Amino acid sequence: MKKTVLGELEELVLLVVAASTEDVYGVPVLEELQRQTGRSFTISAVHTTLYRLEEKGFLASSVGGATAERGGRSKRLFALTAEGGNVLREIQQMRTRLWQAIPEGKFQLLGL
Amino acid sequence: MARKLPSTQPERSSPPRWADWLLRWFVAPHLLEYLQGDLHELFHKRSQQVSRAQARSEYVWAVLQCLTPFFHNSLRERDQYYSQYLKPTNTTMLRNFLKIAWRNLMLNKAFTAINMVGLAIGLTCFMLIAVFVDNELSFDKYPTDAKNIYRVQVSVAGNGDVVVYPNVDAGVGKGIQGAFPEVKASTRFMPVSDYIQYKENQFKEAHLAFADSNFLSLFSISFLKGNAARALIAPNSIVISKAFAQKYFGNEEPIGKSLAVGTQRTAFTVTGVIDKVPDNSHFHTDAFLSLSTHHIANPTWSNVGFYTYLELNDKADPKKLEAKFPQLVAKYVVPEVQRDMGVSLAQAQKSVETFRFSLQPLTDIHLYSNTKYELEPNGDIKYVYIFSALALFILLLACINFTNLSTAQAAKRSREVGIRKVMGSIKNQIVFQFLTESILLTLLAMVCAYGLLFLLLPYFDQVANKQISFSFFLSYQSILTLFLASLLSGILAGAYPAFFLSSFSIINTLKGAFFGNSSQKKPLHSGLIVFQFSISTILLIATIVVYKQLQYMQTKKLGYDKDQVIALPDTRLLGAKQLAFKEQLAQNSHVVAASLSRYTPGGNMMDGTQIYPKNETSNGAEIHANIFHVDYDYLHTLGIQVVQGRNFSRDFPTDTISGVLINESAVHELGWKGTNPIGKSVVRSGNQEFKIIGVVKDFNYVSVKQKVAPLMLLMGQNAGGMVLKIKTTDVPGFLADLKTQWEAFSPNGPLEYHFLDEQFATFYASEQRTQQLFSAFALLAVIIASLGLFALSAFVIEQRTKEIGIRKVMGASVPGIVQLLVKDFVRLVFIAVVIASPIAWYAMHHWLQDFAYRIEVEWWMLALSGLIALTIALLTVSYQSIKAALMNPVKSLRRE
Repeated sequence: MKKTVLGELEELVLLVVAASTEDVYGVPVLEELQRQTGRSFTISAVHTTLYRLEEKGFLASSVGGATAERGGRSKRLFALTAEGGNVLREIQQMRTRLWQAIPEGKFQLLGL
Repeated sequence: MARKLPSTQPERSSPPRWADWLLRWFVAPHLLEYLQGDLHELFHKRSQQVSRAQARSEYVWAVLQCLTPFFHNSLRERDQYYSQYLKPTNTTMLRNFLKIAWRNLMLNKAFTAINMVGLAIGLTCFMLIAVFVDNELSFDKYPTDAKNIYRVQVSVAGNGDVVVYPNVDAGVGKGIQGAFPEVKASTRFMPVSDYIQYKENQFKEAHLAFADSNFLSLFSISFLKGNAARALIAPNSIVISKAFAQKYFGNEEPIGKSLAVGTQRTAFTVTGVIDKVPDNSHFHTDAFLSLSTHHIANPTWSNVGFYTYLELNDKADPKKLEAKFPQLVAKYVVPEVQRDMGVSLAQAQKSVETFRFSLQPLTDIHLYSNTKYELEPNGDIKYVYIFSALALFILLLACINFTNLSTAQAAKRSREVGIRKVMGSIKNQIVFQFLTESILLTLLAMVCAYGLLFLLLPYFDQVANKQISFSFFLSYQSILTLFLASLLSGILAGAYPAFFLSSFSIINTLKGAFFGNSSQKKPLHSGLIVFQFSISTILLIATIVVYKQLQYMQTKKLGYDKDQVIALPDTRLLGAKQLAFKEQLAQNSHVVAASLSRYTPGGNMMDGTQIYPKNETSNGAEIHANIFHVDYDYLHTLGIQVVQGRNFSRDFPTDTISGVLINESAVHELGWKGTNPIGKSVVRSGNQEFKIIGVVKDFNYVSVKQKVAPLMLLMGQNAGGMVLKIKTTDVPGFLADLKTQWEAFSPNGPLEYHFLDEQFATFYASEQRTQQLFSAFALLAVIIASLGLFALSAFVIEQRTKEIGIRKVMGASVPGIVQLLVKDFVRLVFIAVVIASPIAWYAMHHWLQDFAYRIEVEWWMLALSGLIALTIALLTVSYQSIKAALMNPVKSLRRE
């Protein structure tokens, strides 16, 4: 099977979902993203990404309850799947390998 | 869902309704719920943090962000994954309709093909005519201020006939402008044709014109090079078109170069280059020469020759302005007439009574103006109407085919309708399904129409005398027009079958009892067939009448001999040696006669004047007479007969000064009918008196479309052309010889010549075009109608296969069966012919009134058309009938 490549936003959204203790829907994901990155996102982008991730099998969704603010509309709640967890771990391992490959003292040379 | 929100802030908590509507409309339903919920929740949160307006605008922005294909695309596979209970949306139903429609069309390939060919032809006709009409209507709309530009015309009445001149005298434009402040500008234009030379390049240019310096800017003709405002101010300036510059200068820079104009080789300096005069203009001039070259000290009012255009300001009312013109006539024209004709003031006033200036809107010139002296042959609004109607009729005929064939097939489709209804289909859906079928068909036909357009466009351009390229049809307006036409004709064609088929009751259709007796739907079929064949027959009659009229005009005795007559319009290039050239030609054994004159029947040269008979107290009628300047040999050369008196003769020296030959028409109009005109005198403007020495038989010197008008033949003056009557079997050899002789006289330019009979033929170009178009339309109408009849008869006969089988078994003969089958159809076509004949007779009778000399619509033309229509119908139907009649009854009866 072709190895799935995740885009940056996809990775971030996946991490946000993974980091939450319970199932989340669009609005909390958006807010968490904005808080963590300090960038602004649109609900359109968040939804698109969530559905993409679901399509790829990294998230699973279910229908959740409605509230008054939502005009009585239900939520679509997303949760991380095992496959999603795997892919996050793979990414992290790949990153760690790359970090380790940075020659020692390079950052010092740059004055960091 | 009801909102459970604090009622104190109802406004604050509602996002813009239209944005919600937009979202609902756009986003796929299975995504909408959650997306809209999130949006509302965010809005609610934001509306507590920021102002209401801010929150609302953020909401709108967020909604707009959602208008992406991702949210819209409901046809993805995951639809099924997400929701197994989706309601079919309009689009899914449409997909189903399209699929069924396609399958049905493919099921009856023959019918589909017949319908499609018919519709494609109809649409092609429609487009070609639409383009023709569009082009005709676009004439002279290109100047920026076109709607305020008017041409000054003058009309003169005489002897019950009004002659309109589209051109007036040199002083009129400026005079009107000076007298009335609502006239913003005036400009004059005078077409000429002359020789132009640059180095070794010399050509005769037919489309030159002298124009005032503001002419080009008034007509918004833009310059490629040179100063538009100043180019035509100085005398001897010339502004040329790009093609003209290329022809003379090649790649050299034209500005500042000098061109030699005319036989005098007057130098004109090129001061500007224009692209070209637009195609849809009532004049097409290649080069404009400054009118200031001719200094006119005292511009007069009572002649004609200058095409004069006025630009009015926006508020001016042309009708009111026209009403004020008579004061100018009294002020300027009367004194001039008095002086020129040498008559009293009262007489002068009487003679200009009918002298009227009028304004012709520029944009109407092409379609509504039909004077004898137009710059170019104009179009005619009548033909625009006629051809539009014909195009629509052809399209209608094609639609009828569809209607007829679909209803004929109703029996086959009725089960389908029944089943659909049982399955829960409502009537509207069935209507829509059948409409989809017809619209799909017309759209396919539209694609074919494009193919046909591509093939036919060159012929069309030729026939309609237009330059329309295929790229025109690829512009979005054209595609949109054709698309709409297809859509409308699809709806038109499909409407009746759709409502008819969808109205069946379920029980009857499923029982199959409904169509046991097919006579119920016959009136419609019959009516439509009658309609189709009526149209076809009318067109056939029209074609025959136009053809006969054209033939009549071309073969009519003209009163002169046009065969093997050559006109040399420019022997003036020889200067003083013209006479010697003529004498030398007269020696040639092939030359029967030669005459020095620039005036030929059907030529452009014609003078005119007002004349009145002298010393007539009772009848002082002033008439308009045309003038030909001729020499002693003119009548002989053209074979014109003298009916009274004598020809010009060298024995009477006064002939050259005061002798005149007039034609019979002039005798009649001068009121001399029944008296002997020889020896009487007429007076023309300038108080010149002429004595009549002879009367010539009327000859058609303009065109057979017009009555022969009064004509005076005067001696000499203004030679410069020559007419030759030759008699030879080797025309090319003679022409070669003529050229050598011409060169031997070392002329100032090349030899120009044309044959009179060829020029004569060009008179009828517009009638020829009409005839070609009518033939084409008639052919198409007949083809479409026959196709329809063919398919319908095939279908009806197929339904009767068993009946035929039984009849044969019972002993019916083949001819008997054929007769049985053919009879019904032929009867319909016969009715069509009967209906069509009086309509066509009336229409064609009306059309013929335009011609001074015309044929009558005779019964045999109607009969012949009827016979053609009947024969075609008979052939169409009998093929199927004979096939059915010859069929082995064993086979037809075994069929189930």
